[in-house]
Amino acid sequence: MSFLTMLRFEWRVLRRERLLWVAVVFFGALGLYAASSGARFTAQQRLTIAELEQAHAQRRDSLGQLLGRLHAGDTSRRVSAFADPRSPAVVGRGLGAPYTILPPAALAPLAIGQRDVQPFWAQASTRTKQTFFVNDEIENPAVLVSGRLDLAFVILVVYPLIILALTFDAVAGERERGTLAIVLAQPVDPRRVLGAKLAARALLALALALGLTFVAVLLTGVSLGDPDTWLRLALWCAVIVVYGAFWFGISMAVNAARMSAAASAVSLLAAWLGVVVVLPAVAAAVVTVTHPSPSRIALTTRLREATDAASAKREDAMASFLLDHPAYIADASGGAPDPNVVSMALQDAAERVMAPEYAAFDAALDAQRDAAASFRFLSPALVTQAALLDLAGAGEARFRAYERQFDTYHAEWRDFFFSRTLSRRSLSPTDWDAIPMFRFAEESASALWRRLAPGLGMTLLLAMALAALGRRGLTAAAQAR
Amino acid sequence: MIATIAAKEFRELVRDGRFRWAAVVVGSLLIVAALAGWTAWRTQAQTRDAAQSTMQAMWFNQPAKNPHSAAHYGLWAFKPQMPLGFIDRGVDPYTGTASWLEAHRQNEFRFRPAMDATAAQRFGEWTTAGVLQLLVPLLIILLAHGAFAGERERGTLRQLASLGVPARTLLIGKAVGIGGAMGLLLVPVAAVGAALVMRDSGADGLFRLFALGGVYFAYFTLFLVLTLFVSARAASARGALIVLLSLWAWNGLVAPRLAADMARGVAPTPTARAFSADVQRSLANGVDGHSPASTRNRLLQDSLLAAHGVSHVDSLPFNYSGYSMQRGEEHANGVFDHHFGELWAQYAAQDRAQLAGAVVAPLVAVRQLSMAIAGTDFAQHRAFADAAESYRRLLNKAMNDAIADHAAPGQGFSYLGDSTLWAGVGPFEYEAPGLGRVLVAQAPSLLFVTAWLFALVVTVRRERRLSVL
Repeated sequence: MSFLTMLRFEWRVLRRERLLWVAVVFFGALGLYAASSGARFTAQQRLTIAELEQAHAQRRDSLGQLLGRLHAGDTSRRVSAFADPRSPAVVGRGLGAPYTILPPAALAPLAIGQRDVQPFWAQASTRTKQTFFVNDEIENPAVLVSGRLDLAFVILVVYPLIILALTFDAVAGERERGTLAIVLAQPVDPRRVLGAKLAARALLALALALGLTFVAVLLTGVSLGDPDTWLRLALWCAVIVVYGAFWFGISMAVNAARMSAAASAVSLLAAWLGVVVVLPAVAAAVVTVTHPSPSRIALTTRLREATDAASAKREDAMASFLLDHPAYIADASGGAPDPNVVSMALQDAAERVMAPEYAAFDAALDAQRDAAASFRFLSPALVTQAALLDLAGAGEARFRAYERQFDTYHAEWRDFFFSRTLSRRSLSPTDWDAIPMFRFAEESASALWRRLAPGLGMTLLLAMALAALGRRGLTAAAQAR
Repeated sequence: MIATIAAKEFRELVRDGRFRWAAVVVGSLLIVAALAGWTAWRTQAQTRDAAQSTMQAMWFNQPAKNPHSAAHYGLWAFKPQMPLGFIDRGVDPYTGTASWLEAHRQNEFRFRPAMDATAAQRFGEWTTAGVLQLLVPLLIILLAHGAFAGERERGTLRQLASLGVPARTLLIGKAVGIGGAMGLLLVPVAAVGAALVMRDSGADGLFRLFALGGVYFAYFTLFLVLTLFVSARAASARGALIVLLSLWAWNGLVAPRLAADMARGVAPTPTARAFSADVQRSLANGVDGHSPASTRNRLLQDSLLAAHGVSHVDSLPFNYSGYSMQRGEEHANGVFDHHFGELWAQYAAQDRAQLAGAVVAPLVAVRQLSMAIAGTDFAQHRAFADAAESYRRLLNKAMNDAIADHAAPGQGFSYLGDSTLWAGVGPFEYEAPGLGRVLVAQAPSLLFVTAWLFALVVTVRRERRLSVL
């Protein structure tokens, strides 16, 4: 009797179980709802981004026209000093400035991750980054507390439960019904019979999870034009297979331990708790205690102190700023210094004091993220979570890349406007077209793969070890009866 | 009779290796969560208190400057940590912790702590409340699912019935016994909690802890009775376990997320961009959209000149700049009240819709109660936001009035205020709503929990016969 025949037979048995259909309907409905929730969230982000881009295009055009007229010597319109597109200081602070946008990735509807609390856009400005690079998106905190219901959550938490619910009594059930002896009396290797029983159930759960992913991808309008998206989708499926294999391995090991159905259910539940709840809790508790988030409250207070100190010693700040920017003196033709240059000097003085604090803040955050990343090896659930979020573009790495690209751009932006403010050059239409723009550069697939591989490898090894253990146990079980 | 049954059940559980293991795991998770939460809580509380007094001192120690510049300088209000915040962090990670109180605008709260954490932490972070809400019920299910079904499978239920033990007595006895074993685990944890709370917050914290204990006691009783009820009706321990675990997963994992997500659809909130654009529009043109700033100023000037019978604002008995700035503030305050009021009404509608989820999952109501008693629900965040906003308005009014009353005509922006003016406003102090008010506001959640208990007790009482087979 071939393995396939046994699978087919097992499927016929399974089809008659009510539990199966309840599980299928529940899992399917929940998964679809989760996919729609992720799609709605992503659609809202895309809408915001479209609004921002449209608003910027309008402002950029109208200010550009105004600049053209002013530049051509048109004096018919009076322009307030705070809205003058010729002033590099004013434009640099954000008049008509573009938005630095982190667009949702191709598979974004599949996972929300930290996207609902981290900034995904900011308006370029010469101001200090820490004062504006935050997410002020409106969301009822009561919704955020519950946690997001996205497909990643369903796969991470509910999918193992489905696998375990379908397989927990594959062997014990037969024994308790008294049919195990008959099954084992068949003229086939008993291990293969028991293996086929388990495999049929696990394959069903796997097919459900993969099917959900495909339906979700089709329904949420993920565009599949890019081969990179296909690669990510394939990796997403691979993650589901490996994670499923891990739970299948656990179930096999427990099934082989010859316990009663109730006892094996309790053991599997304990395994689920340990992997999905307890180990992540331990990891989170350790990271929170050893690498607490640095305090933004303290940072804000320190920045204010530094700004006050700089203002109190305005002359000193100005003097040391001019020492660093001798070009400005050469241009200065006596009289009161340009107030824009004074405010640059004050900002510069405050930032000099704050630089080590900002560096410490960023280092603390990075250390926290690194610690969380290395603690993921504690549990296959954490590995899987990190992988799913990464693939959907909702992971830490992508956000960090955004922050770094933002920093580079911010420096470029400042340089552009500060140099023109210092050299007292008003912006020309040519300058206007040369204003730096931000474009997020996506991470390469190979870098992504390098990050995912160790965790997936670990989970796969664990799955294989558990399956080997289960195979030995099943042999013993088959021989014992 | 009940005592005998309870004693037997208690002894059996305490001698059971599985109970010991499970109790050790859940107990240590509870204590680890409480201690880790408390450590973080204390650091944050100290940082916050220090930062707030620095901010206040900075305000008081301003050099002589124009009061309007002082209003622009403003100060930051930082949200204080509530006494039981380490047990249940509630919405705190997701609301901002700081708001800048400055002239002309009501700023939103910034710096959500969740922004600076990782996804793994968000997934794995277990506060004491989380363990109490999810893991303790699971423990109850594991311990009690076989209480009847197991005896039925072993055939001992038939013996008990033949002894003439009434079903209800048996149920109560088992409940008391298992409850006692749970108490063995939970009472020491509560004592640790009480010690930590006493250390920092004294009697008020203890009262809150007591109320919190009451809510969780009700919740655990609910689960225990439910488990015994299912066990009494199930044919096998395995069947009881499957049904109970499904209920648990529904109650703890799925329903709260589902309720929250569906509630968003009931009263959709605007995007931050749309909201601030609306506010800007109303600030410029009035809430009705038909009174632009220039018209408002002209009307104000005309009416003032007419009322005082003078022809130029410099002849008014007060400084016009200060007066008109205050009128501008009042206009803006109306705009903020309108828009923030609308937003918060949307939140409230969402929260009501979410609470309706308690019909199918008691945890939704219990979680709400737990946050409220811990002082970390949205209503109490809003209470703080309102207090900060009132202080901002008070501050701005004092600054504008100083200009109106003391500046020479036409000299509104060269008039200098001094430290008496800065000190005149007094420090920003916030008194959190007391436990009584909180509980009154939580009447619907309390009602839900009571209704659940009541419904379950009624169902159990109507269950007269106990099937022994």
